[in-house]
Amino acid sequence: MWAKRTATGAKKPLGTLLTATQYCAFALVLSLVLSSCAFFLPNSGLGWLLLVDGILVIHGLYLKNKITALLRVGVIQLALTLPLYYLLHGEAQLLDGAIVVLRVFLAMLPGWWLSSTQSPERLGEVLSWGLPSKWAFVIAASIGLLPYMMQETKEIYAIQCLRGASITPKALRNPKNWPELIYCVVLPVLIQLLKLSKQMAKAAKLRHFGKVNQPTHWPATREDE
Amino acid sequence: MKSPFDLQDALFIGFCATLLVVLKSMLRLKLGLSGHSMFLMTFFYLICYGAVGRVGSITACGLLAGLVAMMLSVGKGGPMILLKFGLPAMAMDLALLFMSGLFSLRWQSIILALIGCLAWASKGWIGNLLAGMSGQVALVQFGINFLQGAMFAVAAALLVPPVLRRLDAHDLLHRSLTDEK
Repeated sequence: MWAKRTATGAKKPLGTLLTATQYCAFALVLSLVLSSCAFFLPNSGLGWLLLVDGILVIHGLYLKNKITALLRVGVIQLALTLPLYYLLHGEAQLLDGAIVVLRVFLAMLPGWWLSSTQSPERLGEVLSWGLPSKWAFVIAASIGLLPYMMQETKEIYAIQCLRGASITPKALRNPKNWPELIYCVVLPVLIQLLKLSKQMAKAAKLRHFGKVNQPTHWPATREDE
Repeated sequence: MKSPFDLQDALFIGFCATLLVVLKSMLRLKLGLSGHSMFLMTFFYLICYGAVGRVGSITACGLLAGLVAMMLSVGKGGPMILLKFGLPAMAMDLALLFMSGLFSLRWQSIILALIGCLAWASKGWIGNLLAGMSGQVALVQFGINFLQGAMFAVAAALLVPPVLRRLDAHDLLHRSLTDEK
C-alpha cells in the first residue's frame, strides 16, 4: 500500500529512495494539498478525500498517536453549527451544515497527521531551506532554549504559588486572576529573556556572526541514526 | 531577504514567540470559550512591538510563533497554525503602518488588539465560507467569535502598558517610553 510504503521509508531512510528530510518535505506538501482540497473539492469528490484521509488516520493511529483532541474540536464545531443552521434555515438544510463541518474537520486532519507522524527536527530542517540564516539561527536558539525557558517558568510559577499568589489552576479559571499571572510569572520571565537576548547577541557577534557570507554549521549527525 | 532588526531584537522576538507557544501549551485553559488564545497572543505581540519598536516586529513574532508551534506540534492544525498565528500579526502590523504615533500607548494597544482579533475571527469566517457554509450562519459564528476574542484581547491590551513601563524601569528597553507619551 502506498501509505504503508512511505511509512517504512520513514523508518529506514537510508535504504530507500527518499531520505527522511525529503520524505518530510513530501509529507508537508501532501498535507497542505489535502487541507486545501477539503475546501475546494466539490461534494462528489469528498468521498475520495475521506478515503485518503482515512488512510492517514489509520497510519497515525498505527503509530500510536491520539486523535481524541481533534475529535473533540470536531464535535464542538458540530454542536455549534447545527443548531445555528436549524434556527436560520430550518430542518431541510441540516445536511448542508453537517457537510460544512465535515469539510472543516477534513481540513484539520492532515495537519494532525503531519504533526503526529513527523519529528519536529525534520520539519525544522525542511523549513530552514527557505529561511535566511539569521532567522534560522533565531529559531534554532529559541528551540534550544526551550527547556530552559520551561524550567524557568515552572520554577517562578511554583515559587509564586508558594508565596500565595492566586495563580493555581483552580484560581486561573476566573479571568480576574489573569493579570496576576502576567505580573507574577510572565514579567520576570520577560526580564530574563530580554537580558538573555542581549547576552546572546553579544556572544554571537563576538564570534563574527553575520559577517561571513556562508555560515558554517555544526556537522549533522542525525542522518546517520 | 534583508531584515531590519539587529540580532538582539531578532533573538528577543524569537524568545517571545517561543514563550508564547510554551505558555499556550502549558496553560491549556479549559474554559470552553474559543477566544482565550487571543489573550496570550495579543499580549506577546504588543510586548514585542513595545520592546523592539519597529513596524514588522509583530509579523516576525507571529510567523516565528507559528513555525515554533508547528515544529513542536503544539496545535492540532499542522500548517494551518502558521496562519492562525500569522494572520492577526500581519493585520496588526498593517494597521500600525497607518496609525503609529497617532494615539497614546494605551489606546494604540487596544485598537491593535481589536484589529488582531478581527483578523483572527475573519480567518474562521473565510474558512467557513470556503467550506460552503451559508452566509448567515457564518456571520453569526463570526460575530460570536469576534466578541469572545475581543474580550480577551482587550483585557490583554490593557495589561501591556504597565508591563512595558516596568520593563522600562528595569532599563531593559532600547528606547524610552517617556518620549511617546
